Amino acid sequence: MRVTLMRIMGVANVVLAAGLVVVAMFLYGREHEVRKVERQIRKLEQARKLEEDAIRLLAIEWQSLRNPMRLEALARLKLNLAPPDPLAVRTEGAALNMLPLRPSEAVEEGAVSTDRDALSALAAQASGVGAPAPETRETGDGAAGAGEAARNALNGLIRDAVAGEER
Amino acid sequence: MSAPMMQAAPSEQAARPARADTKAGERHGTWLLVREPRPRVRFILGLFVVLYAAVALKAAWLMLLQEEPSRRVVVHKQSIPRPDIVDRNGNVLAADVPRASIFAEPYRMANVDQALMALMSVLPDLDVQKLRRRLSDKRRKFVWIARKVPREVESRIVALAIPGIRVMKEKKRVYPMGRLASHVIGFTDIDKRGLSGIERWLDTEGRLFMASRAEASGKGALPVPLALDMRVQQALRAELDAAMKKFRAIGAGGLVMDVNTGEVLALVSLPDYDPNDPNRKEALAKDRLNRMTAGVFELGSVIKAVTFAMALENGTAWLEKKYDARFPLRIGRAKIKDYHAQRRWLTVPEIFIYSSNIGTARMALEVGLQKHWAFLQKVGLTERLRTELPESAKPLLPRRWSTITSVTASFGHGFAVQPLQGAAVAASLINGGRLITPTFLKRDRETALAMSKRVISEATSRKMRHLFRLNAIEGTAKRAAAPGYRVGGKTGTAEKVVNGRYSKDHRLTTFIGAFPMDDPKYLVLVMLDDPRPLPETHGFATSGWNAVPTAGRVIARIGPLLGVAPRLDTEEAKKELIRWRRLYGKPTVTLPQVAQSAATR
Repeated sequence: MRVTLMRIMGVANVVLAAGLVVVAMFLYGREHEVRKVERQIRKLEQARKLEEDAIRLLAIEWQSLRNPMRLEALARLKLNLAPPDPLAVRTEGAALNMLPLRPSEAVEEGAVSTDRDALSALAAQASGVGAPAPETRETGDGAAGAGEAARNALNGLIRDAVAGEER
Repeated sequence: MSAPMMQAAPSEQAARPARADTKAGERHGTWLLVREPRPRVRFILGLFVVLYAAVALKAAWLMLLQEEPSRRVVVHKQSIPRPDIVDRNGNVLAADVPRASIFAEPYRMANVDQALMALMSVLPDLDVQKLRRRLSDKRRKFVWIARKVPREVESRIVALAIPGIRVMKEKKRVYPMGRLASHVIGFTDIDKRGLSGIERWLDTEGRLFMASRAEASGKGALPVPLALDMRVQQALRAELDAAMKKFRAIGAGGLVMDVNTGEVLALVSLPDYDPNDPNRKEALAKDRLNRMTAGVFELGSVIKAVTFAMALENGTAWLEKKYDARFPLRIGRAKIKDYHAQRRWLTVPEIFIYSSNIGTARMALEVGLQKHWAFLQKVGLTERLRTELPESAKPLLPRRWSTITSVTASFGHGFAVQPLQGAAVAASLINGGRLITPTFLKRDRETALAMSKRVISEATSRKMRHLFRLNAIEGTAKRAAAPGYRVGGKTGTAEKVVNGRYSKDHRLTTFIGAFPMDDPKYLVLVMLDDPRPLPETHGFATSGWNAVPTAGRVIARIGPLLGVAPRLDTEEAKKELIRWRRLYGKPTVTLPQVAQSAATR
């Protein structure tokens, strides 16, 4: 009984000793590896954090550069800009109204110098004066003519408004 | 550390049993084990088994379970994330930026003088005497060296690697908009506790809201969207600032509110302060209170609008009805006089546009004492208005509600409210009759409608719109009419109380208006504290000469920003344009030039 116990303990001793050496070497190697990877992770995390912080700082800086107080001061100083005159404000709808009509639509209405007529009518309507748009010099047909007509109409509209305020 | 021990141990172990072996092996010929070993050897063998097991366990524990000791130069401070604050278009108004703070652990410091020398090379402004005293006290565990230093300083300190000096990563609260919206946003202390404005609200009543913005990971937080629009805020602030300088006023305030949702798009109180100043010298000065909510003011004739709405709603007055304004009205010992006295019978719209005290008083008397008080209660003028801003003042009401106080209150004398409160009530008079509590957070129309309270009928509200518009066409608010924006509004000039008496030369001028009056969308309030008369105002300093034109300029600037289309095709608009030109001259850049250059480009 005692002998068996002693034998078991003896074998266990040897096995444990050998096992310890093996396990220790294995774990040592593993730990070394893990530490290396951990160092790598830490470094990357740190780099990521730095980048994130930098992005955030830049975003805030960009925001402070866009501060309307600063922009207004700069615009007045460097660009000689000021808040728009009430007449300078045109809404989307008004801009659309100033576009020349499509040729097909105009032809349906049976007019010849269609763009100009439609425009002067619109201009008159928009300015509320009821006078026909001035500047009806003959211009060539086609796209160039339409652009010319639109510009004339716009100028007519503005002149009307300016004349209206001076009255 | 464990490896060499382990290597040494087996050889010793092998030696001992081998010695025992030589004696036992004589009888049995076995080489390893003895039949009857001596108890001492048995004991030693057992001891070794236990020892190995312990070493193995310790090794396993060290490698698998224990974390590496966490004593690094840089530590991260744990804190609840504070959300960014953004305006309605997503512009950042307040944000946390990473900053590092330097601290020392004196009990770990080897050489204080050396450490201080090294620190001085990076931070030259240190108070060396004080720090040396503190750092030499080895019982201390923690001493701040410098808080929230820039990035370069931080990296240089880390590079120095002074024993006992460490860096703590913190967050600093910054306000990229500076003083632009300082009174609404407020500020925090160095430990990021909100001290005023929305920042304080987030820490108090808004805590639940703030928590709802935090991300589940606990690392970040969604931004808090305010109703403010920075473009509108800037337009309002710039115009108020200019007016304050021009009229040499001691203070100015203004706000822009969406009348249908109660959202405050802009709120300015001048003089303001820079929330980024770490010393808060400006912010804590006495004249920097938020005039729009933290102060109460007599709004003067602006309050007449409330009386008119009440009388029209009550049915005792209608637009064609005439009131006797020939003589001053005597009530007890008091005499009610008119500033723009007409000395004749006035219709209701005439009373409004001439701002007749006598007429308004008569209208209030017709309604009666009790009903007048009840109406003021209904529109919430008798109670403190509470919004997200923690700075809110209680209205100043007459001590006794009597005929004379009712009469003076009808034209805004003798009771003072927050200007924001006045604006909320004015909004209810023109938005169709629904009183909506103002808010600084984003709110949609449905929510506003659900929480609104009807104070007057749609029909009365339509009449009020008419009166407001009429007043801007031919009444006291003429100079507010930005061409084409269909502005309507009411002016008010209150005499300031100086040494306990109403003063004739110190005034508080107010304008509350809205545009476009055919479908009111935005309300504008402008208030100037003690504006001085100028030669160009012909020696007048009443509201019509200072607060009103300021509001007009504000409206002309914010109208296009808010997508309100000016309509210049009406007769009124043309008159407004002529008046506008007379006030401000022609634009320096003429329009045909612009159109031409745009077309040729």
